[in-house]
Amino acid sequence: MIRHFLRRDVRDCRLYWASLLLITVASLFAGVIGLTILFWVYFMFPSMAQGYILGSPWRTQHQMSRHYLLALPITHKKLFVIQQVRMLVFWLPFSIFAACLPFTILNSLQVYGFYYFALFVSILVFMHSQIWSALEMESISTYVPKGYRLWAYIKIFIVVGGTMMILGQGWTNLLSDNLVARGPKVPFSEFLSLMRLIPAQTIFVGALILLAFWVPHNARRWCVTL
Amino acid sequence: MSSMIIAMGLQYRLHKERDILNGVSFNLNKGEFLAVLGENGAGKTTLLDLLMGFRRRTGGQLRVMEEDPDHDGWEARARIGYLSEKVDIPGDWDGEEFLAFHRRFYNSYDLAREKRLVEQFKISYEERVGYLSAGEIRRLQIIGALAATPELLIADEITAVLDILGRRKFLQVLQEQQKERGMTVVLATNIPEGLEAYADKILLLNRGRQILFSETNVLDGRGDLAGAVAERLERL
Repeated sequence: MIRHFLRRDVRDCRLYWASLLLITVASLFAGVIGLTILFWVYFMFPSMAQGYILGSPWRTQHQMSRHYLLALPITHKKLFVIQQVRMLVFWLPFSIFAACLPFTILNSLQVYGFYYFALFVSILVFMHSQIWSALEMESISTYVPKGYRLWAYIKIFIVVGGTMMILGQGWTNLLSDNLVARGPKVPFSEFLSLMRLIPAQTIFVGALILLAFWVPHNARRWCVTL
Repeated sequence: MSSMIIAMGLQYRLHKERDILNGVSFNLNKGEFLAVLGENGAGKTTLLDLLMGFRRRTGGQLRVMEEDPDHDGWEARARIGYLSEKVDIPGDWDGEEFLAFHRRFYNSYDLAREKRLVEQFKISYEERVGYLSAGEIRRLQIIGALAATPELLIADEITAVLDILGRRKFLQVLQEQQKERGMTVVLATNIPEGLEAYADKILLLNRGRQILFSETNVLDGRGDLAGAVAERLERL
């Protein structure tokens, strides 16, 4: 069943993938700036597919509606797993890119043994942050009364922004030792050392624990029978 | 006769203070056609969402094909056809692509029936969904849903965008499948005109409350179901 969805995704999103390939080839000729561009393009790429995959409860011709997906004879648990796998496919370029960094720029695989665990957790957290924010936006558009909408938007900003900040701090803590010590003195190095109060290990293990609650929460909201 | 749907005191409450549905009770047997009627905001779509398990009821009892829709009853969903104005298909797909995607999910899918329905509803396999009108997109969905030979068809306001001929054809096809293989139908609509010829039972809702559940002929004494429904609603 999952292949049926993935085949369809490849056909529907071939323009996205072709564009990504073009940007990749162009960036390879642009040196370090090209790599920076690639990092951000790969990081933003999954958000293009988010709406298309999750489906929408309101009318649109750009994506399959959620009601259609939920009415299909697939267990909702399996359907939600399929949805996550479909989203993860769009995280593949970023995952491969980030997984290669210890061999290339960082050049220190031994130091970053924890790196791959942090990468895995970060991608899952980002993905569930996407799912959560999409569901919140739906809720704002459909149910939340006018007076509460501003607070609902602020809640999205705090949760998504907070998640990014905490993970960002985790990554800073994981990488700053070497980058700051090896590189030239940067204006924010003192600030970076202040942020080291929480060890990266604590942040990423904490994020994994957060996921244990966040995934079932998102699953129940996306398909109420879970 | 076996029951396809049993609802007792069904309730759906939103944000604690607002009842979208309250005290809805009805029983639908295999092979029957139920028309769910009521004004806008009566709770028709919510009722159908509860039947499909898209929302979790906050009170009452509900069995659909002997299963509780609040549980993940995928086996029952394989025997249910669902049609809704909320269902949309990506505009880049053509008719054949949608039907090919859809038929993969149903073991009971009947390709010969699909071809017959495509002819009956005058839909082209090659036309891109984005170029179809809202009514034609509904016709395409109807073909997909009925070709899967469902035992129960749940249709939410699907007839509103169909033209006169499309609506008549849809109701005729439902009746044919009802007679031919005992398909049960639940149709929520704002347009009761002409339904007296097809519906066996009527469920009339108003502001989430059940006004009436009866055989169609009880309400339709003068052969004018729409008039009788309007009269009932005006008296409230």
